[in-house]
Amino acid sequence: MERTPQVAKEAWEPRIVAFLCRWCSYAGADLAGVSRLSYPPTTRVILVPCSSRISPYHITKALMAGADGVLVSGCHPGDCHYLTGNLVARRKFIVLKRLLAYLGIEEARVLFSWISASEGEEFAELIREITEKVRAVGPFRGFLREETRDTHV
Amino acid sequence: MSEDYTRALVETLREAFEREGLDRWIAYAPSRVPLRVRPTVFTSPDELDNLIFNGFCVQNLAGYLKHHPEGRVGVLVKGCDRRAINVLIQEKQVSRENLFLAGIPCPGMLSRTRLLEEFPGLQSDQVEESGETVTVRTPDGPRTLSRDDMLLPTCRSCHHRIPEDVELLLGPPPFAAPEAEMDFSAEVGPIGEMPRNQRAALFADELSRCILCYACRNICPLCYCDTCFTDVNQPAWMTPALEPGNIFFYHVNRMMHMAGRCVACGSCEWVCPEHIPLRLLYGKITADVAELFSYEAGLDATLPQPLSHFSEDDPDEHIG
Amino acid sequence: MARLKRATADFLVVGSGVSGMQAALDMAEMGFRVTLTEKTPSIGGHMAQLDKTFPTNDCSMCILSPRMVACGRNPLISILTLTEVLEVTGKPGRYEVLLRIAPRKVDPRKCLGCGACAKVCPTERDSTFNQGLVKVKAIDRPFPQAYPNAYAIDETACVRCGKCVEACPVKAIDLDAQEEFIRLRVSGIIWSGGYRLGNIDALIQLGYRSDKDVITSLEMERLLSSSGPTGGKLLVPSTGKEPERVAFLQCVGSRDVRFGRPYCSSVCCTYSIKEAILAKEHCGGPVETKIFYMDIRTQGKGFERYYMRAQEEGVAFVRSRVVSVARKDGKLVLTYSPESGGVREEAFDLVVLAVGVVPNTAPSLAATLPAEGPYGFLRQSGEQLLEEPGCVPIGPTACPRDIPESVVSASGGALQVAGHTKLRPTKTPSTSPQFTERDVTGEVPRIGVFVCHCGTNIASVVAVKEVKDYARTLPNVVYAGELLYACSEDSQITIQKMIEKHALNRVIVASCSPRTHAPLFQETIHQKGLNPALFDMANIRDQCSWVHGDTPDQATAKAKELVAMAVAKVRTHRPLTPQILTVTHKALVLGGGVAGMTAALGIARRGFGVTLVEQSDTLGGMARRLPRFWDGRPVAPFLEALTAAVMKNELISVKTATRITDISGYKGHFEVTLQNGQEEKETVGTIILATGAREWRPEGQYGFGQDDRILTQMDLSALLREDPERFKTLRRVVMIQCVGSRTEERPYCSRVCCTQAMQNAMALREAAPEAQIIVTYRDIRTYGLREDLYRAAREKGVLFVRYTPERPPEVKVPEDRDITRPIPVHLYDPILEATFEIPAERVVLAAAMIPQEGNPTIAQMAKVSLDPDGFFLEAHAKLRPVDCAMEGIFLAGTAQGPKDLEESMEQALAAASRACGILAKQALEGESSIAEVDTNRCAGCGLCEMVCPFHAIEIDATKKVSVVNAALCKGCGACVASCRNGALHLPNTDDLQVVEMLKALG
Repeated sequence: MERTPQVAKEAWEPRIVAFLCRWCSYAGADLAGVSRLSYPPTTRVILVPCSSRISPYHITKALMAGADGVLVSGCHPGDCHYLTGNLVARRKFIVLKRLLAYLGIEEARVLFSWISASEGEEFAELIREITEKVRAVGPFRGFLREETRDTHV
Repeated sequence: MSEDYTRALVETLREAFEREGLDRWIAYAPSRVPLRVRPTVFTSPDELDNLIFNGFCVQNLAGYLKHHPEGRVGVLVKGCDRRAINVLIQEKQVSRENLFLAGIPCPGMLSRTRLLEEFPGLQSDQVEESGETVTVRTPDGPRTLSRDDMLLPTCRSCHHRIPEDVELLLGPPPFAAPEAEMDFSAEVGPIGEMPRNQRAALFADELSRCILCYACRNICPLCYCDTCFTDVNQPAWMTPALEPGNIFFYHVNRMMHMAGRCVACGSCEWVCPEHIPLRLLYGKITADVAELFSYEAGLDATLPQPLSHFSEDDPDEHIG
Repeated sequence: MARLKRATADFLVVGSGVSGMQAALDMAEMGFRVTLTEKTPSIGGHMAQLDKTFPTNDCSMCILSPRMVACGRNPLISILTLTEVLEVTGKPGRYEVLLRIAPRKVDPRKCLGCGACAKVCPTERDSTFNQGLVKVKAIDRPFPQAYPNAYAIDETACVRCGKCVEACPVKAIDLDAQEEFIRLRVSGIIWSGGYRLGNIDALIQLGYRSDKDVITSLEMERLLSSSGPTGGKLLVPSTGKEPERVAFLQCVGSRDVRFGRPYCSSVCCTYSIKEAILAKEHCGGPVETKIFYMDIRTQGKGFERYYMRAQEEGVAFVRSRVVSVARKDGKLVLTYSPESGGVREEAFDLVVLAVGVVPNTAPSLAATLPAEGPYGFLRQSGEQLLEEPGCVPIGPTACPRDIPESVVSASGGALQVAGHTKLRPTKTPSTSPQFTERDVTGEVPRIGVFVCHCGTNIASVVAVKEVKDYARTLPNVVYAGELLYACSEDSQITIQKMIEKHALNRVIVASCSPRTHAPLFQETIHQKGLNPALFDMANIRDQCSWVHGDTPDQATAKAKELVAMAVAKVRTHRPLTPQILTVTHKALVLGGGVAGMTAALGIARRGFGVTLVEQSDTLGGMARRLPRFWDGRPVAPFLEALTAAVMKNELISVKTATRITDISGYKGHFEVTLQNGQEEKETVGTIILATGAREWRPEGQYGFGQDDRILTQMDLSALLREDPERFKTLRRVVMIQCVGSRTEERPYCSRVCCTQAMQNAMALREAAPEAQIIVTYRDIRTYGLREDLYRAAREKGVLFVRYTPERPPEVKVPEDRDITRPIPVHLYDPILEATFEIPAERVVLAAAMIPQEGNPTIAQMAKVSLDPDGFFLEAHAKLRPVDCAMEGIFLAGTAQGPKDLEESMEQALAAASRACGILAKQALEGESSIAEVDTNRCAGCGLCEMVCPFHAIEIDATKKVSVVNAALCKGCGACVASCRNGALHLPNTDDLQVVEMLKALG
């Protein structure tokens, strides 16, 4: 179930699962394409109706399934196609983000953003940015596999 | 001294049992296991003779409501039992009208582990609680310890010992530790300050002992689903295999379930056979919910749960 | 030879901006066939050019583009672009319209929007969409979200070199294409010509055209837009650097008699506030923004708060008209005279001119449209709104107005024009025809994967064959093939053949975006008997080949993984059928004021029954106290006629002295409990809330309540309506504006009071020509054409003295209450910096318009929300101004926020129009993927109930489990994510699908 990176360090490219809402962020990603903006081929997009559809299960499961990073992106506050879905999501994710960081997961691995349908450039820039962030922390080795055991005592 | 208190307590509760025409009373009875009590459902006033209250009444009694939905039930509640009941009311698991609550100002519960460490083979009847001390009768004579020193870690940081909104508020027991000075999440801050890899190593160490026995879930007064996410299929989120991924998945998602709900009763940590300091996890969630949404679980059953709710101006520091 | 075709439709909508699209969509909802024409190559209008919209700063394109797609997809709407109306003949009910279609020279049905043509085109021209701020090719698509999503050739720029013809992979270009003519027969016409910015060439002193850094507000929108020429970075055109100081000049060519445009453009104050806020947001460094204005007119819903927010965010406001803009030492120097006197100069980097709007006229429609109103606008009066003419003007062509007001007028106009046809409920217009579906239950998944080359769009980067071969190895994939253009007609045939040949029961197309293309392929498989839900796409173009051109190997690897994920997902898909909801063909209107009566009449005239519920004993509401419409027409005879029309209409059942005590149900089927001595139940398909508003009684303010001579504007209106003669001996009156409005307690503008003050002031002048009338105000908000009243009042000698909230007027009520002595009013004049005492015989207070006390109760019953001020909240501030978040419930009149009588009527018509959209259907089609509950697992905790934005899920009190109301569920999945133990499911977008996709990660 857990992935041990088998590729050599040079060849390793981050893999980021991106949950994008149908109405804004997925459209923003399409616009980046229509505008032929270039960004690294690191994302694997999963289309969802709304950012509120995403639960902590999905995010933790994605990391368990081999992702090096997870992005959840929805509409900007006020733009949600389902009125307020993104606002409920915002609350849930800030707690999760802080919790994962506390447990020692690198903050770069779990990312949230708002991307609107007209923000193609912003989407491309976001992917460039998070790719670099995830690259900097390296491949995800799986949970509770910290090598620096005993350093805390 | 504590026997007198228990006798008076029994009479008060018996009187209420009859007067209120209750169907059941949930409280504690003695246990054969040393330094433990047995949560018990008393079905008639006569049975109450067997009721007990002392520093080992750790198990949160709200949890025993979930299997007894019918009738009018009396519950002996400490601060954390009362708060857990509020959460159950929020989540429509019990209705307030069916409950008769007798509140007991909690003296703080004793750590069984610490006592047994100090006095291997210790039996319940060797322990005498009085005032701010605990006296242990040993073959070498009595030894008196500070109650505060012997408290469960979660009880040492409890600010809600006196249950609120109860039908009957009982007098304080003749034994009690002083009011807590630190917070439930006091230990969380320093961990948050540690370098990331040390934190990761700390939790890798602690959680890798987990044997996925789910005792923490089973004892939790707020875990009432018949089927837990650990056991669902289509999709199966995790397996019972003792792999770090499963362990992590279980704890993170359980913590997310407890965010805005955990009442810091400490049962999970108390029951853990591997002595995993679960308060360090639940304290984090509690601290964040308090800081981010100014919310403390179980204080007001009429408020919406913070994670199923929102405000236009919620923090968005996490949005990149 | 030019071709002439004949065609028919029920209605024609000319102009496809946001107003025209709304009118077309509303008519289609009612079951009519509509032809929508547009003179440019794409529908969308001005709104497509805007960056954000006020006062919510919503992304304009995000909310507009789904509307454009909805128009394009609607089988009842046919869109003609590059089309103009040449001639109209006939009469209401039977028009013949001659249309000219200019040659696009690109066949929009063939064009794939790939852009190969523009790449090779040698000629450049100014981009119209980007206001000439950038160059584009002679063959171009105006903007990425354009509909139709096709290129067009600008004849004037094209050099006919033929390179594009060669480059086009689908032979869509024909340089010899000729114009076409259509003779269209319709029953009615909607004119939605829109507006343009007024010509300001005469204002040479402001530097427009002579200096690059003096721009119009619309150019500013493009500079702010992330799809604009600078990618959303605000850069000064001459330097390419971010500005440090930006000035906004208001009323450029508005409120200016010199241009023949004395009216107020109504929208500029708020859009300048928006642009000033956005300028700060878009720049890296600190930006100073200053707005130079005469009066800040933030009269719309939520605008006053927006104005306050701008002030908090540091936007500066200067009350002054700028005399000139000149280039000095590299800066733009503004000369103006501040209120304190003298002349001041100030340097800026960028100057934005809030240029006034001018209506687009329609000479060819002149004979059929209502008489031209002032300044070229085609306004309908209150009486005219009740008529059902064959041709109706909507949007800003009728008067200067913002987007929600335009949308309201569009919905209302649709209903007015529809008046010539008695609607009969039609079959639900379905977007896809029904086909017999094959039952695939129990079958092992047999998946077909079609990988598209998209010409070279995909194939030049991704190794298509490799992806196809890989797909064939995936579990349950029984066929994998390549297609040159998956979306072309022959590919549909191929897909259908393969479904048959390989007995496919699931299909994946790996090509472009499901947002644009899934419906096409879904119809293809549906024709072959496969339920549309047994389909999915892998987006290997927009999100792969187009963005990873530099790394083809990795792009191919990604494409494979995307295909694997799609296959893993579709394997678990099951067929879905949209919910069908029956409709009760009857409406309930709550509130018997002018808005309620207008709405009731509008619906009844379409042939549907209406129950009109009024809590008082009489119909008429607030209008019974009003003497005149804003344009001076008397209210009394109008109100009498309207009431009579309502009373005698057999389809309207009027219930006065009645309240509602409960509402349950959903769109198409509401149960309402009425109470008037006895309880009664009504089943209706739709509900209109027209409960009105009321005037605040400002007890204790400015001596109100202590002296009968201190009264409100409403009181004065009522007295004037009864007998103006009683005031003929008056010598001095002071009017105080903004009493209880724009305060901390009520941070909103009551909108009607300035106009009402002008009317009452002039009526008093007429009754008592010698009287001195002094209006004390903060900003005069006679927006739009109402500005004429302000000018007239000034011309008639009404005096205007401004006050600031820090030093409001003081009314010294005489202690002896001697009513023979005037009331001293102390006024502080900020310009003269002096206090005057005015002995007034009457003090008139413009008291705030406030929400009805019963609103919270109704809101709770109807499951609709209230805004922060206590008025009913619309579903969307811009595009759904009369809808509630609870579908099937609509808002009319002041219940939604302050407005005057005419505006209330417009909104009532819009609400009636939207309501008819429901009533006209036999049944409604709901969502197909809606939440489902596993009742064995559900613990009844109610978290799902709390997170549902649509109140579509509840805990059943007896069974203690969640129950989904299929009619209300929109399929967002918030409940599914809130459920701790997976008792909730969203079919085909479920946890199962997410996990299957994650497992397919390589």
